[in-house]
Amino acid sequence: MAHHNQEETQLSLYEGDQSALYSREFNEHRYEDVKSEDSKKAIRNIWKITLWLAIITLLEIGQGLWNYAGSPIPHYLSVTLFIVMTLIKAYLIIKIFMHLGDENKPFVYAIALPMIFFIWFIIGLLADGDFWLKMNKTRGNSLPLVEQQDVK
Amino acid sequence: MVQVDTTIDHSNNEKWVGGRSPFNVAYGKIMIWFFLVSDAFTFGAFLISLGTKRFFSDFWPDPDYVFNSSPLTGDANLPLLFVSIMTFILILSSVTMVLAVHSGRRNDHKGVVRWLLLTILGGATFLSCQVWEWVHLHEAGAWWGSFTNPDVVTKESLRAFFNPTDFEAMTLAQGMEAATSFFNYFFTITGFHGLHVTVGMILLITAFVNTNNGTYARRGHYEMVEKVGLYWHFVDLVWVFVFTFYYLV
Repeated sequence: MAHHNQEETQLSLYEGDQSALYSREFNEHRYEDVKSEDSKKAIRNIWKITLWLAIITLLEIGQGLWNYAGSPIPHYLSVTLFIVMTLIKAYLIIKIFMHLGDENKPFVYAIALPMIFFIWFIIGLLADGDFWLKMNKTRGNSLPLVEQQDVK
Repeated sequence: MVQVDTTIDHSNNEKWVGGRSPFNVAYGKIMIWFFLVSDAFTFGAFLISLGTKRFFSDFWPDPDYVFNSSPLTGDANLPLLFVSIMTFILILSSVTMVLAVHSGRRNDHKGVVRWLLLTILGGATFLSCQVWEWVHLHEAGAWWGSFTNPDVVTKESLRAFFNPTDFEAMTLAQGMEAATSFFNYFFTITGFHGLHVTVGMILLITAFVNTNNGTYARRGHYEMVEKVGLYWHFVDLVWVFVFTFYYLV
C-alpha cells in the first residue's frame, strides 16, 4: 500500500487535480532521478520485454511463411499456436507496457474480469457460423442464383 | 463482526474524504482504462464477426496470396514482408511510448519530449504504410462491395486472392462471397484501427505541444502522457490481434 502525500504536498497540488493523492506511481517515482540505478533497471526491463515481443513476432512470421511453403502441421494446431503466441504478446503489453501489473488486485480484476464475456462470444458466434454452413450444405442452397450460372 | 472505521477527517474536506482510495489509481487513469475495456469489446465484436463469417464459408482468401507486395519491389512475391515491417514499427512506437511514460513519472522533461517525438514518428510511419496498402489493394480491384456484381466479376479476377487448390475447387459464387466478405471486413477493421491510430496521433501531438510549452511541468506531473500512453498501447494491442486474425490464421 503506497503512502499518501503529506498535507503540504496536497495544498500545492494543481487546482482541481487530485491525481497525486491517489496514484501509486506518483508517490513511488516522482522524486526518483531518471539516471538512478532503479530507473535504469526499469528501462532495461522495458527493452527486455521488447526483445521478447520481437522474438514472438518473428516466430509468428516464421510459422506463417512455413505454412505458405507447405508445412506438415495440421490447420487446427497452426491456429492454436498463432493464438497462444498472440495471447502471450497481449499479456506482456498489458502487464508491462500498460503497467497493469503494477496496479493493485481490485483494479486488475476490474479490468480483466469483464474479458470473461469474450469466451462466450467466441464460442457462441463461431458455432453459429459453423451451423449455418452445415445448414446451407444440407438444407438447400441459400446462395444467390449466380450459383447456377456457368463459371466464366 | 467486522470493525469499520467511520471517522472522517473533515479538516481536509476539499480533498478525498472517503478514507483509503480503493484502486489507488488516479481518476483519469481509471476512466481511460474503462474506456479501453469498452473499446476492446468493439474491436472484439468486429473480429468475432469476421470469425463467424469465416466459419460460414467453405473457402476464404489466403492472406499469403492477398498481401504479397511491398513498396519499391515491383511484382516480386513477398508474402507477409510488408505487414511484418508495419507490425515492428508499431511495436517500436509502443516501446518509445512506454519510455516517455517512464521519463514522465520521474519528471524528466527532456526524456518525455524525445520519446514522444519518436512515438509520433512511428505512428506517422505506420499510417503511411497503411495508406500504401489500401491504395495497393484498391488498384488490385478490392474495395468495400467489390466482387458483388455477377455480370462483371469473372472467376479469373479472383485468382490473385486464393491459394491455387482452393481456387480450382470453388465456384464463382463461393469465390465472390468469400472475397467480398474478406475485403469488407478488411477495410472496416483496419480502417477502424487506422482511425484509432489517427486519434492517437492527435492526442500524442497535443501531449507533445503541452510538454514543450511546460503545461505538465507547471502541473507538477505528466499524468496526461500516461493516459495518452495507455490509449497508444491499446492501439498496438489491437494490431497484435488484427495481425494474427487477418494476416496469419
